[in-house]
Amino acid sequence: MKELESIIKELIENVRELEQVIEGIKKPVSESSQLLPETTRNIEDVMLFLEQTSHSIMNLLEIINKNSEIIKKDVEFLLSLNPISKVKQKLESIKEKNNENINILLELYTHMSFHDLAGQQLKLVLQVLEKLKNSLLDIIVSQVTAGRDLKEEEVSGIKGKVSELLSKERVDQKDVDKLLEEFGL
Amino acid sequence: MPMPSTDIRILVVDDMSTMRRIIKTILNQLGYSNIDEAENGKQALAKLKKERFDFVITDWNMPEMDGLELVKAIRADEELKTLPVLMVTAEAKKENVMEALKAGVNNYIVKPFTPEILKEKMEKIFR
Repeated sequence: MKELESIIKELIENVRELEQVIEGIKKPVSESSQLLPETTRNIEDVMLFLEQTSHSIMNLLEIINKNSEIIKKDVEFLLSLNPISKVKQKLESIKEKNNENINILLELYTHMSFHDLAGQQLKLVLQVLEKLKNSLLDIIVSQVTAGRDLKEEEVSGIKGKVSELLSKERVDQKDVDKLLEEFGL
Repeated sequence: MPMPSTDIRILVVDDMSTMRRIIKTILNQLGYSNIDEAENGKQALAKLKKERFDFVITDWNMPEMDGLELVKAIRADEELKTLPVLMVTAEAKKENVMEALKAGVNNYIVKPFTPEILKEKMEKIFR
């Protein structure tokens, strides 16, 4: 009878321990599975927005550039007609200012590479997020497999399942429970 | 120093569409209009093997095949090995420049760059 009592006590203790493990896993899995893909998607949205805006700005710059080229040709044509000195002076001034604008436009174009440079930094942030996801994955897997005599294939199977869960946009409790069930928890 | 003939065919390789557009616009301003583009090294290499180009301007960090791998592939190819390559990249460390030079780039530009810098580098490559 005493033996049975001690077995039951041991069983209750084991169940409690497992409950703690489950609770410990449920929270980070469900939180991270929402936060990591969400943040990644936000950054990707920013990158897309930057790209679209940069193209819109460049479209406008191209129109201004084309207009400046037309002004340049027209002014040259008018100058070729040998206008009176005052008109010639004004036309020379317009020509000079127009050339100045064309050079500024070109400079603006080169500044547009901010998109590429910002994009590269954002890509680094995405890489950090991926690393964070993997570290989290390792923590969860080590928590699940602690104290269990599992084969390498079984550990990598668990890793795969958790990774699948972490890459989903959102998971609900059912997903987490299903996952834990698969681990035998 | 004379610039290369404006008839030359140039391949611009960059995964960022805005960057390809910027380089193309600057080249247009310098008088070059025979320009094609590729999104990464793999796509560029396929174009280079299929069509004739006189000059390649490539980024470093790209998916599938980066600029460094592209340069190595160009230098390893009997038909393409003498093709001039200019690397335009945000990688500004000394070791990056050394690595690119070792791989076989003809010159190196750090982003962001001005049209004058591109002109100057092209003059140096084609002198």
